[in-house]
Amino acid sequence: MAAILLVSLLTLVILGLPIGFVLGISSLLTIIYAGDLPLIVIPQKMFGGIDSFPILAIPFFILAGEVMSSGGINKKIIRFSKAFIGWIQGSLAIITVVASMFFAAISGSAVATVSAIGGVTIPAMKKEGYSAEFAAAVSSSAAVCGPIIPPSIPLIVYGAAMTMSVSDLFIAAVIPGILLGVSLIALSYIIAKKKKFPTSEKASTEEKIAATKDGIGALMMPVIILGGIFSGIFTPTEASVIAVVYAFLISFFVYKSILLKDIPGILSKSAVVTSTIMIILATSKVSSWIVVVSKLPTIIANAILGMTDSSVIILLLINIILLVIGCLMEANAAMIILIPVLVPLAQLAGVTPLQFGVIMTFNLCLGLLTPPVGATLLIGSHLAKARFEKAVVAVIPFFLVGFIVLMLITFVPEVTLWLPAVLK
Amino acid sequence: MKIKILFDKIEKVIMIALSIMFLVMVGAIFLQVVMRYVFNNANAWSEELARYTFVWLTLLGASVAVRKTSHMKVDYFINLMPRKLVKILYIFTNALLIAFFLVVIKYGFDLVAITFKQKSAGMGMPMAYPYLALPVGAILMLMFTIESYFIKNANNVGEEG
Repeated sequence: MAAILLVSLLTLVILGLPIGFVLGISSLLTIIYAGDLPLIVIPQKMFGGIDSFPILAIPFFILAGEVMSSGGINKKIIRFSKAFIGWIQGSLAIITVVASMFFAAISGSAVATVSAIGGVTIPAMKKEGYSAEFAAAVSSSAAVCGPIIPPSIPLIVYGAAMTMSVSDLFIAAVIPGILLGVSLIALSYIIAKKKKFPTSEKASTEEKIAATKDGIGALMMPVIILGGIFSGIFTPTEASVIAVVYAFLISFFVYKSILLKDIPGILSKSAVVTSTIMIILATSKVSSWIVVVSKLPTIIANAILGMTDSSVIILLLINIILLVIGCLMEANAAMIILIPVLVPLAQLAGVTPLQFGVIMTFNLCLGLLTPPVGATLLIGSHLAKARFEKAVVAVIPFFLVGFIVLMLITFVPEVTLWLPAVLK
Repeated sequence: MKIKILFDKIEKVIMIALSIMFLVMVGAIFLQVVMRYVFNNANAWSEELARYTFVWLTLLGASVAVRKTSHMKVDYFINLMPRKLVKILYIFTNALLIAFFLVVIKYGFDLVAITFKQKSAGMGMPMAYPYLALPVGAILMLMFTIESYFIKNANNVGEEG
């Protein structure tokens, strides 16, 4: 039974069928093969996969990100960052990382972050003489902070699949996200020194005040969203709807950058993007039910325990599997498929589901930078008009920095578990 | 092609429906937050309304994504394969897709029939209404899959000839 599911899953993914339907079809084939399971569970479980309050945060955070990008909130964040750190050598690269981190604290997706921030800073970097592939590499790797620094769509997906608190996962991801951002800043600075990238003039006090005033509406968003979630005032879903309403209000009334006629397009576009994630969550409820019924996790765990009982090796193995799959599959899709198999394995190695959620998210998001399917790097190199192969080479040092942080998260539990313990 | 014009219209209607549904979801949950924090009075129906609207939004949105081919997939391997093989495989994978949609339609309607008498906890609405999203969404996905199969085939012939 487990074999049918695995083989059909793998074959159909390789044949390029949409992942959401692959999960449904493989489940269907397995149910028919098993013979004694009713087919009505397919629509039933699919419904259950969507019908959940925590998951409602996904469409709302996607919509909030879309509103912010259409409303020019990204530009305010970039102007603010520039006013304060523009004087550092290689400032545009560093501004890109800082602005991406800010944007990450409002948005939950890397694709949204690279389009919103890289879309503005990449042309500016090229104008100042940075190479196109470097501009693509720095903004794509900075965008990886998007789904790691909370709010985070993959973490909501993980929380929903594991029925655990999304707030806790968000809190656990704060330090790893900041660690990644700071390491990327350090690396950008070193490269900028070496390649003698230009420096902007130090901003005047007037510009600092003006940029802060202009950006305050945007800068308050992370405070409201994250402050609300971390203090326990709002659930992530409530915070996400507040983010939507807030983003609409300031774009519409304060910045006046969104017109009434833009709104239906923003709504329907976000709805379709949401559906492409949700259909996978829906059908995965059927397949993960079969995974459990077929005892696949026990089979795999026994096989691996037969080879080694060192938790270090098991964790390295898990990370390698995730990196390989992350090269081929979008992060959320890979997350949903792998959770029922890898979480029990990680628990064997002594890793709690909370820490493992952050490891999985971080690892699969690094996959957004790796060929052939690195979605973020593809968008980054497209924005920079750089050749993808050249961008892949330029991104290597950034990827390595991310890998070092990943190892820290994997082998030092305090990096993820300290903050949730303190805030409790 | 007359079918294409008709399907374009259907897609347009779905897009409008999606916008309205999204507004309903935002409105319902925002109202719930306001009620809870300002008036200290939680209402059961708004969360339910948002969740069931979301089921409809997902299924309808997924059908549009079929037409726009924006569903997530791994196309790395299929791009490496020879075109003749891909064409044969395409028949096979489409047959599987259609079979899956037919199952969701058939058993989705069964589920709707069973749940007509079952009332939802918050609004007291027959559970058949939210469940109806599954067969309806699957019918649309089936239509759009067949359409895109013929369009792709027509294009392939055009390119080769």
